[in-house]
Amino acid sequence: MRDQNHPESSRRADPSRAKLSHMGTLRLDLAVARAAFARFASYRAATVAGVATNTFFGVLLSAAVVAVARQRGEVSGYAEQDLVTQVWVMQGLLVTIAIWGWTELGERIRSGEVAVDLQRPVDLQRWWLSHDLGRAAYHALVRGTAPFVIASLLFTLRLPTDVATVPLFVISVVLAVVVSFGLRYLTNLAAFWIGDVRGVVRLSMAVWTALSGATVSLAFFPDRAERVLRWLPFAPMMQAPSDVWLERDAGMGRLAPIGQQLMWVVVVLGVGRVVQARGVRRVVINGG
Amino acid sequence: MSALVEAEHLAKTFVRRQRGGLRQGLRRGLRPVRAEHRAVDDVSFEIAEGEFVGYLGPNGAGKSTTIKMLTGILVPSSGRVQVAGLDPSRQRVELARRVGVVFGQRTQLWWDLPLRDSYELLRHVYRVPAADAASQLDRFVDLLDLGAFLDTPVRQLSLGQRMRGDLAAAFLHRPSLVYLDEPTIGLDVVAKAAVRRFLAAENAEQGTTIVLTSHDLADVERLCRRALVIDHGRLVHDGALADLVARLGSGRTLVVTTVDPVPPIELPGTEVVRTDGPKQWLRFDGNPAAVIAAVAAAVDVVDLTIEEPSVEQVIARLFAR
Repeated sequence: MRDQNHPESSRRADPSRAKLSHMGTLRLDLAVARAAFARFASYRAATVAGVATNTFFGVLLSAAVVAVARQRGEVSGYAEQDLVTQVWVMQGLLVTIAIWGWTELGERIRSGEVAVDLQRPVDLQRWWLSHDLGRAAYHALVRGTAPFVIASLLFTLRLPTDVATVPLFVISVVLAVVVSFGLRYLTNLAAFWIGDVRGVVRLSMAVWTALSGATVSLAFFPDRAERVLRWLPFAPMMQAPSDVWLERDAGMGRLAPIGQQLMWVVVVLGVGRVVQARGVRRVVINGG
Repeated sequence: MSALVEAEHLAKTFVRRQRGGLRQGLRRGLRPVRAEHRAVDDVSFEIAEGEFVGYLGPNGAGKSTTIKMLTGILVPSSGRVQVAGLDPSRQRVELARRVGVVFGQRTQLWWDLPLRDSYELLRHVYRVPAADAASQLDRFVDLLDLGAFLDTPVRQLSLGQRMRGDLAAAFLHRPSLVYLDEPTIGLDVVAKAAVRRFLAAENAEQGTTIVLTSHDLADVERLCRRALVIDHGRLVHDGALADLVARLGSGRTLVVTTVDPVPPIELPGTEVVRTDGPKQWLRFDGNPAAVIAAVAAAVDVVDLTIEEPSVEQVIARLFAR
């Protein structure tokens, strides 16, 4: 009797439905991102604690850069106000790009939960990228903006003078998240070979924190080191969006950091696909 | 009718690297020892559309490994497998649209979100039209009694509730084929009964082909017309479960509690295997009703329960002959 509503034709997955429209894929990406957003929004205590932590460290770092700026005047063309603003932009970016690491996929590979991911008719990398963008959207909107707003009551922060800066900044943050995701995805895929990725992830976090401009702005590095660091995949995660916000370069030069980000997006996602294909073929599902 | 699942000489070998002790290590020059483990060894079978097949075997027999090769998650070491005309490991994503899976000890539900949200997401994963997904969900709410906890975060659900939620998730997109790996593990009697009712209905009314692995012989007896039995990676039985049980005897145990302790009950076709005060354990093969009637006629019974043999016990007996 229940069958009446379900004609046989719709019962079986017919081939026409298997041919997927791009719209359908995009809707899935959005649905995954929405679910991830909701998931991280459900961790309320973590959100409050996180905002407090970012604000506390932001105040400490601000005091430090103010002291340096008062002694040295400008640092590589960054004035006192720029340096303080940079501290707060970066406090917002830290958790948005998940600089303190992400081991969820690695843990799933280790425990065998990845079997559940692999039996879905979706690409693993695309699924987790959508998931990460949903997570990042939540972190950017709540943990990213709250410390900045609080700080603007304590310090004179620099706001963009050009309207175009705002969309450019948003694009740059999204690209920063994708580069960071690509690198995190790679470290997590290592679980297919080495089992436990926590060590690899912790090591990579130490490198990122040091070389992305997160703790010490790249402006404080010697000129030659700064030039090299800007070409590595770490600056695109922190220094690049921050420079876009500060309107460091004029005219077309403002697109330079975004160009570097785009280059690294292509590299990390491309390498991720190759490694994923190999990992999935040699998968051993742990735990039965 | 053409076969939905075809496995021919399917095998999967895992290589384990073992590091021996120091002495062994010195002798072998610190090279790890490679130990090969044939988890699935030359298994062949076909499953037709609409069948309800039990896939049985003790722990580590190769059940889950076989299922993972059928879904394409694991690449077979040798042999050939085809499901719905596709090569699972090469066309995993395409095949996944037509298949549903429940790994009893894992979940595909979103832990931190209300149960309902997982279905909303799965609707997009499998591209089920909204109206169709809604009517499916209505059916499941009814059959699996999900209504009370649809809006509860999955992490707060009991095991039985979560399992019912996972079953609905596996059937939402009207798959042609569903693999269930231990779907009743750890469930209480009521939850087991609900799960069995649901599976029987999906198979009978919707025509969904179901492959079930279980330790619970009662699951298989009540649901599956055919049983594949695997042990040490090899297929040792393919046919009606009733044939297997008839061949081996079901080996049930009747636990009899009498008013006062009585001497061991002697009845043809039964054997007292244990006594404890007024309680006696009678092993028997064959019709339980006849045995119960005979026991009730012979002694003053306070309580009777039947203990089912586990799949392991039946299989152990298969090998004992």
